[in-house]
Amino acid sequence: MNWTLVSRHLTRYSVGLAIGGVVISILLVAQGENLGRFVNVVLASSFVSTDAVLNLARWTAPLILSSLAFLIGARAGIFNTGVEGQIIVGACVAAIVGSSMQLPAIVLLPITTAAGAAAGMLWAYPAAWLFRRYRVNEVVTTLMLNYIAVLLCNLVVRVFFLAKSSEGHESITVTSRPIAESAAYPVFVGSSSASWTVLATVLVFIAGAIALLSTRWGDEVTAIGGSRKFASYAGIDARGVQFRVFLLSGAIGGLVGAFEVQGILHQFIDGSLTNFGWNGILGGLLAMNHPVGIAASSLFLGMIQNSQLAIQQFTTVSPYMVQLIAPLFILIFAIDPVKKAIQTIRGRNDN
Amino acid sequence: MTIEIAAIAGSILFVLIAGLQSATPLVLAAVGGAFSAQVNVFNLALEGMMIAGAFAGFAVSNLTGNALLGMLAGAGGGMLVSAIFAIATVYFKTDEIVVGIVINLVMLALTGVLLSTLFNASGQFVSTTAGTLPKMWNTFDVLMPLAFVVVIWAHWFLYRSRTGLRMRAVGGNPAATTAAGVSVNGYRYRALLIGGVLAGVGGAYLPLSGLSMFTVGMTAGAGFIAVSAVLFGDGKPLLVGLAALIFGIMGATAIPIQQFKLPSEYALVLPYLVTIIAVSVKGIRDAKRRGEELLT
Repeated sequence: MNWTLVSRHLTRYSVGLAIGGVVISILLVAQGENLGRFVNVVLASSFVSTDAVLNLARWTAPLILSSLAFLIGARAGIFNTGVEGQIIVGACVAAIVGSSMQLPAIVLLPITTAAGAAAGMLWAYPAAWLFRRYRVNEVVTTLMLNYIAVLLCNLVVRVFFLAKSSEGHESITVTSRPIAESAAYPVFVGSSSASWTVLATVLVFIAGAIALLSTRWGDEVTAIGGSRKFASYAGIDARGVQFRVFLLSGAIGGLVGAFEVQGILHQFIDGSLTNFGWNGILGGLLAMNHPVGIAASSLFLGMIQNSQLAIQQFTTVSPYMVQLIAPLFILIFAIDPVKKAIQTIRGRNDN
Repeated sequence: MTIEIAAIAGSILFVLIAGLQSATPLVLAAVGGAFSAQVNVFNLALEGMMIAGAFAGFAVSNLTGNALLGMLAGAGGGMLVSAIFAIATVYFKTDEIVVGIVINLVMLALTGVLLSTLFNASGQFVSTTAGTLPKMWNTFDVLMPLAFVVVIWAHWFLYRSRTGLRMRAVGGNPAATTAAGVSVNGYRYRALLIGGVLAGVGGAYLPLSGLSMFTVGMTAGAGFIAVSAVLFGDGKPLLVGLAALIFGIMGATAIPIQQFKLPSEYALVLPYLVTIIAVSVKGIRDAKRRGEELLT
């Protein structure tokens, strides 16, 4: 254990929390609320009862997976900003597959999940291919694919799979027909929203962390992320590995979408998955590129997500506050003022 | 027959004007991004600068009833965000992509929070007091020609003026520039701040050019399309401006396409699709020109 590094990281997180906390409290006061009460509401909505804890798990699970999707790419030197779109396409395809077949659960459940993951992978494919073959900037291509994903999924669902009420009315938000009961993961307990997808998520996460940290493949990925050139000199097929990691990242994104549809939503609803991918990127950044860090960063972000309803009910603050807190902390964390301060002091001593 | 021709000419003119209207903010923001590209900073935060400019411009013109004052406020809003971006990337040397993305997320949420705090509205707010931009011949508002002027000014500035040439030196070879006694970071700050001002004005144009309405997330990727225009034009203002103009006009083809009773998504997807194709074609051409061995 490198204790200087650990304390350095701890300082970095604490300073991020402290400065972010000051900015947040100013914003809270402006909205007629105070930090203590706000934090109370946030904590209570995640820890006050068994159901609250299960709801926390419900919100943490997709964050773990979408953080993993981003992080696997980032470890290999790919900045996949398209997790958002990959999740939406995965959800859309899972909803379509799950609603158009009547098969026993043992068949339909895995088929639907696999379809979602495959769709996410397919959505990452153009960007991955352009990156592999011509090194076209993956940030821009995946960003554009996000917007296209939203429009395309809405179009497909509205034209072919739109849900209708029993009187034949169509809903205002674009909503697909519900999936078959045999395509849905059942919930743990009746009153919470956590389903068996949480367990599946944990398994995928553990597998991903082990693959990244203690397999030959993981070492190759890390080497490429460190320096593609050196990895190539060492005989690693850097472009090939990067390409496959890019696709894997997309597939994990698609898996998030499939799990959301099969475990929670039971249909594709326009806008219901907005920011899932972006939050995953935040989770990956906060974990400082380390798979194990994802568990902690996802819990932190999941807690904020989980308090959304309670914040609307019990406080006077804007609903957008929930979306603001995480990136604000992470902005300060990423800037890392402590590092600069240390460098400045050291520089002065050297002279 | 003559009536048909007149109708077609009328709709072409209509698309052209609508195209200019949707291209103006893109051109302004993209030229702003060109300044960052010239000092070799990848400025993904344009989206955040635009939404900040949009909110500041909307809020001030709602308060004063003067859309031009709103534009000024938009410039200020964009500059403020670019100052944060510049301090983070230049002084603290944080990763440009990370800061860009996180700033965008912060600004999108922050404008939402401010909208509910200051206007007591959730999601969107229509202003009845915000003024409109002065128009020439009742069709072109003042910012459309201004965008053209800005493109040409930026070209002159970066290729002819002392400051601009130094900025390009900073982008091309920072070590040599330092050796020549030029403050590298100083020129980086200046270029990024100019970029913020332009992106902010472009953003402020969004709520003030038409409905006097602010919607959370109303930039809808305009900043990212501007980033693509910068990549496509290699940071050269004339090319970047042209690319942004084309991307913007693509957005306006939505209007005639809707007459064919096609779903609106077909038209809405066009700017993103054209952008991704343009950036890819450009990337492929560059790769071929480099003649890089394609295996490593």
